[in-house]
This record gives sequence, C-alpha cells and structure tokens, in this order.
Amino acid sequence: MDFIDYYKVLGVKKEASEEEIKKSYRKLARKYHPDLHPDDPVAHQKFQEINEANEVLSDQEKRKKYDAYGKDWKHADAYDKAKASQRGQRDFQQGGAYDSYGGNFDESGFSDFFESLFGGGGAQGGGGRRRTTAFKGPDYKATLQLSLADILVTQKQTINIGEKKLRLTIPAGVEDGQVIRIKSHGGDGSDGGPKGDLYITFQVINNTAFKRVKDDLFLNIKLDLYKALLGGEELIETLSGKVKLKVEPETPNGKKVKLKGKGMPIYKKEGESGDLYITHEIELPQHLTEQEKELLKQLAALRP
Amino acid sequence: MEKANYILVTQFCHQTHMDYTFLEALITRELIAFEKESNEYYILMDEVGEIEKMHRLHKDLGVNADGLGVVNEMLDRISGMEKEIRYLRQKLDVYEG
Repeated sequence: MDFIDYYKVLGVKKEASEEEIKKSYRKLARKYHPDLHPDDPVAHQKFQEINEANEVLSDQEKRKKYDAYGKDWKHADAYDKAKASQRGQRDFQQGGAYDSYGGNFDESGFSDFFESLFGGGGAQGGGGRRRTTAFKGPDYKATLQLSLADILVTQKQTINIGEKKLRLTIPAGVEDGQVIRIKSHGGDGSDGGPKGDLYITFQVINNTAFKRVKDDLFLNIKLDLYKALLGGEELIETLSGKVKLKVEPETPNGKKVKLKGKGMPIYKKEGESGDLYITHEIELPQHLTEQEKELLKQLAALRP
Repeated sequence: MEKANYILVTQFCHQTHMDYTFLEALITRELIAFEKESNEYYILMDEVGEIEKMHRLHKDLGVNADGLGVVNEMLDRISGMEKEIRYLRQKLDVYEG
C-alpha cells in the first residue's frame, strides 16, 4: 500500500486554502466526472482519486490528521487513541463531496491508504461520510462476447451474475458495442429502494472475411480474368449457406453485386435481413507461357 | 397513467433525501418525463437513473437545472456522434481494410 499525495492529486500546494482546494476539486471533477465520460474507466478511476483527496483535504480534522501522519500513516491508530483520550470519542460528520452513488460507483471506491488512515468505507465507516442519495442499488456492467455466427439467429444463453444464473435472450443481429439493460438485476437498493440494473455490452467478434456495416455485409471475391471476360458462375459461401452467383460476361474489376437479404438479420425484425455486397477483384494470370503471350499479342492486335 | 411505472415525487424525495425544489426545477424545465394528477407530480421509475445522474452533476459540479439541460443535450449529441463515427469507421474499413 503506497502513500498518496492528496495535494498532488488536486494539484494544490500544501498551504492551499479551503477555497483553493474547493476550486481545484471542482475544476478536476468537471474534467473527469464519470457521468460525462460514461465509457471511460480511466476517468472513473481519476474521479475516485480526486474525490478521495477532496474528502480528506476539505475536512479540517482529516486534513490535520493527514498532514500530521501523512507519510507515517501506519501510526495513525496511535494518533486516534491519543485523540480519544484527550477529548473522548467524537464523530466528525463532514459531508464532503462524495455521495453514495446509486448509479455508477461502488461504496468501496476509497483506497486502502484512505481506509487505513480514516477507517472503513461507506456511510457507516469511520470517515462518517454523509449519505445523501441512497435509493436505487448500483448498476452492474458486464460484457458478453459473441461471434458473428452466434448472432445469425435469436438464441438463449445462461450467464452467471454473482451466484445467480440469468437466462438471457440474445436477439439476432445485435450490433458490436450495443448495450442492453436488464432491469432490477443490479445491486440491492438502500433503504428499501429498488435494485439497480444490469447493463450488458455485446462485443461481436468478426473473424470472417465479411465486413459488417450495420445490417449489410461486404465481401471481396477474386475472379479470374477469363471468367470476368467470358462470364460464368461462382459459388459464394455466405453466412447462411452457399449461393451460386452468375458472373456476367465483361465484368469489370471492382464491380459490386448485391445479394438481397443475404446480410445480417435486422435487430428485432424477425425474418428481415440486410444485404450482402460482393465486390469482384479480377486476378490477372501470372507466369505466362510463351504460347499464352503469343495469343495475348494476337488479341491485342485485334484491338489496336 | 400506469401507477406501477410511476413514483410520487414527494415519496421519491423522502426516500432519497433529494431536495424537492431540485426535482421541481427538472420538471418545470421538462428535463424529465412526468405526470400530474390531483396536483401531485409523478415521475417514471425508468427515469430514476437519469435523475440520479443529474443530481450527481448538480452536487459534484454545481451545475444548475438550466445547465443540466445543456449538459444532457451535449451528451446526447456526443453519443450520436460516437455512433456515427463507429458507423463511418466500419464503412471506411470496407474500402480500406
């Protein structure tokens, strides 16, 4: 467990006034507030550090204790005992800026260093943080990894949420990064409040040759020169099976063909799918034989 | 109004120790959906998370109700732009990947 320099965290001098500390806290809190950066764990972490520093430095008693024992925080208990014998036990009810967040933060957001110096966390802890908002339980977040093939049809999966098992219906066609909320599957509420929610982020891993843009799929296929010139057929492997594709004579390089309804299923629109776009990449023959070269020269002569 | 989906504002304030005037400020600015019945305001249970978020911004950063409206608007726009960026990146990947 390392010593934390709260002055450094807030970017203030050791002799900073209450006003300067408040000002600096506000400035940094604006920058890193998790509600303004919902998907940024770094901001979340930074905000907890700022909060912790503010919790200590904005409270005269805590600041005094921190200044006196800062680097020697391991002796803080002795300090407490000495204080207690001098003036008896006293609770310091300092509000600070830290709330019990119903939403994004857990109560144990304080560092081990803080807990050692000021006691256990939570409203009941030695720090005595005042609970001002304690209604809904904390929201839980989870990530579920799926492959592109997994989301071609609606399926049910059982996931473990702590000790409980949750049977989840994953609709076909979910997007990478899509978040669903499952009501009342988060942490317990306080004071009889409702449970928090569970947010599941789908991470769709695409390790296929297909590129996905929303409900459409894109695929490049190589076409040999002669088939491109004379026409023919190509067997295309789509996500839903093989498809025979007619190649028109004189197909130019980069020609795009749309296979209607062969893309990804459309989210929550049963039976509907996006399209598959095939782009032809014409391959030129390599290592020509003398005979081939001769024939090509004859062809070229026909089209001066 | 399906009562099961709503909570009386006074009850919500009592349970959360949130200031009634704060909720009133959100309601008058229509920052949250509400219903009025027998001169009492009701808010949607589904909006509780959003209200808590606004309350945190209000308490932690000192943002007033008008400011919260602006913040919400900007966050919505950012979220829309992030979606668009994701879409454009996918599209770009088709041509460059």
